[in-house]
Amino acid sequence: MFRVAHYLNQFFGQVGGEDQAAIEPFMAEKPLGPGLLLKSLLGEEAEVVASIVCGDDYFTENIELAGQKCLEMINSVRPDILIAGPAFNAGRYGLACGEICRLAQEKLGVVCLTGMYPENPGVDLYRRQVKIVETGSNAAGMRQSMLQMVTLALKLVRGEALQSPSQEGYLPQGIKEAAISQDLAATRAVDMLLRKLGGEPFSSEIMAGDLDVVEPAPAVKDLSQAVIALVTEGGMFPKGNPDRIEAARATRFGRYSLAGQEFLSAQEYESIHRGYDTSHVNQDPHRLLPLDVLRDLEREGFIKELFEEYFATTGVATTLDNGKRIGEAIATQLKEAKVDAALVTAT
Amino acid sequence: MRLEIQEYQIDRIQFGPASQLHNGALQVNRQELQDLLARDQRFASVELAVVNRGERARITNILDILEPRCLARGEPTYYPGLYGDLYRAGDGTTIALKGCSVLEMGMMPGFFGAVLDMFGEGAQFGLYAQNCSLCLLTEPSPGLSQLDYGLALKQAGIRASVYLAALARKKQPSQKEVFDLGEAKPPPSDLPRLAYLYQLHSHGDSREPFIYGDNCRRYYPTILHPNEILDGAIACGHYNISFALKIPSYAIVNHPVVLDLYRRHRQQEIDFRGVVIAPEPTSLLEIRRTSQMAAGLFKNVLDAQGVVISKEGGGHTDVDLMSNCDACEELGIKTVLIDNEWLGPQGDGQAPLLAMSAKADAMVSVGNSDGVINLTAADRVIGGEVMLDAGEGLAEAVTVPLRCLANGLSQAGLTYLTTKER
Repeated sequence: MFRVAHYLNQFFGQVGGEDQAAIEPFMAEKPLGPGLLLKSLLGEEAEVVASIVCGDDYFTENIELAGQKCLEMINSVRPDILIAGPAFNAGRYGLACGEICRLAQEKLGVVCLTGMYPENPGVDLYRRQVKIVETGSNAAGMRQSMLQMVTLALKLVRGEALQSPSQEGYLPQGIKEAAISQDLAATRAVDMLLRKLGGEPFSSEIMAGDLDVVEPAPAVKDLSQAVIALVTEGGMFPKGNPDRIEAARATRFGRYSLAGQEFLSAQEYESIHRGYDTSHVNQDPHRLLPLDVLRDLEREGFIKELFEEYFATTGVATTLDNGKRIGEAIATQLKEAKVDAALVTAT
Repeated sequence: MRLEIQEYQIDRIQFGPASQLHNGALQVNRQELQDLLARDQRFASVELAVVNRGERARITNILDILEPRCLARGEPTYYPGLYGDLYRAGDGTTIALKGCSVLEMGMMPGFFGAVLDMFGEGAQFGLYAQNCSLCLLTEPSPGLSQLDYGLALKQAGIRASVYLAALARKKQPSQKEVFDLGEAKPPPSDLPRLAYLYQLHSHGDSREPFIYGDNCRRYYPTILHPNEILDGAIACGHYNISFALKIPSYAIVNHPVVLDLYRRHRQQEIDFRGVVIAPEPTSLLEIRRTSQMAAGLFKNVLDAQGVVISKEGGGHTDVDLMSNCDACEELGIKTVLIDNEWLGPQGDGQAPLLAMSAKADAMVSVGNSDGVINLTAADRVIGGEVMLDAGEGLAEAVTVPLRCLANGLSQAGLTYLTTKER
């Protein structure tokens, strides 16, 4: 028989309402509140061996200490499964459920499951680490939510393969792992097309990511008063790539002096970018970094000045996070250097 | 247009005194074929190796995979315009050795090879691990350019394919398959009218396939009869891009989307209206123009109601894919897109594609190109223990990116690999 520990807040643990939110954690070796429902749904296969109850305020205001105390209590009953909540749309309760599941999973290797309403702040904080069953916003759906949690927890503890998050009723964890399909991708595509044409339901295997929309900055009013910098994602570095910037999937960028230089020689600069045919820019680096033209414009007074360094990275298969970080860092450094505008050449 | 493919099932490949095909056993005179290929001055050397299914073998630095094929009659040839004289592909009789691959192999800075494991984890997603392989291990002459090495490899690959397939002439095929869209009775008018938009990479030399021997970038969208695709009108021409981001020649003549649509057409499940091939240009205006023209062909010439669209290449060509999706959907043509995802090694990336249209509501994933796979140690390695993007010590247990697997992601959809949300 699998052993189940159940985490509850002061309200569901039947201590009291808001006035009891500061209570320290305690453990009872029996089901409490919704634990009785949990016990009945678990049937013969598993039993509730302990309820761990903690006040919402206490947990969220002493998150490390509370987590540690609860973890010790949980560990003392050697459970196979930890069920936390469900917390529905209760924010502090959601945070506590997420945190205790994360801890028990990581430190004790226990199967952990909680339940929350998608807008509970605990979802954003913990869904990547913890499986969270989707619930309604309040306890009216307790029975249904608890049933889903029990079903999923038993599958997990038995080591059964899971269907998709939507089929299993938990919130997607933002991770896609390799899988083997029954049918060739081509066949799935034609099947999907026939369903789409026939007005039948289908589910896309790729969903839109969180793509940013960046508003272009307003135009520079007077270029003759502007300091202009050169920035490129085309992978053009001083030969030998002194900063060892990655040829693809860059995590960083470099900044290199142009001071006193009129031209970029193909002997001294080289693009190591892995995402395009670099032979043309390696014949003549100005095709990527137009230093020659900018020096002319500087002499003509069309721009006030070319900034004395250029910034370069490789923009190919860069993750969104790294791209954002690199972009923000370059922009910050340009601002600090009092550069008015940048000419960004992309490949 | 009527294409008859005479199939010869190959069970085993081995070296022997005379090149011949007998009862599924393909015997190759190693010296004869080696000499034939090494005659090309662009190679410093050519060595041959054979690998049979079931071996605990790992093949590395694979640059293209071909199915041995040649015309059943006349001068033994294949891939019109690229290898032999120009003729129309897709009409007549062609010999194909099934269960058999010819592998173009070699190393050059900037060339991305693939790993093919004939066993274990790496063998499970695709079809190539079930084939017997003839490996063409080549070395370029000193100072040879990427472009010339690629062309030499392509011609060697085709020459070896034709050489092997010609051995089947005058033998009894194991099976014949006839491709004739008009052969079926006129389809009932209420069948769904489907077509295929086959995007071909066109990002410069060594980054685009050949169409009747010419570089893809010189084409506008055009209608090809599906038979032409299944019979060598297009060959893979990519050498400096990850294997997962190109469609190898084998997958073109065995194109799973074309074959699936053909099968359903024969079963009168659909009316297969045809294929439009389209390049993937490098500027936005060209991309829009290409999409507009392709969508126009589906709407006004092929009268299609639904289109499968696939792409070749990296993230850049997601823009082409989305532009084609938009152009078709705007004309009322429903679309399903086939694409690979970019999700980081852990699969937790937040933007799977470089571009995403709101209209792209139906997509099939052929896997995470950033994903990795653990391969166990091999008994035998053919092609060297070092490979760009995969690292060193390739005889041992290694972790390699999925995009390096010959048998992994397939932008043509010739794979069982996909991603699953967790």
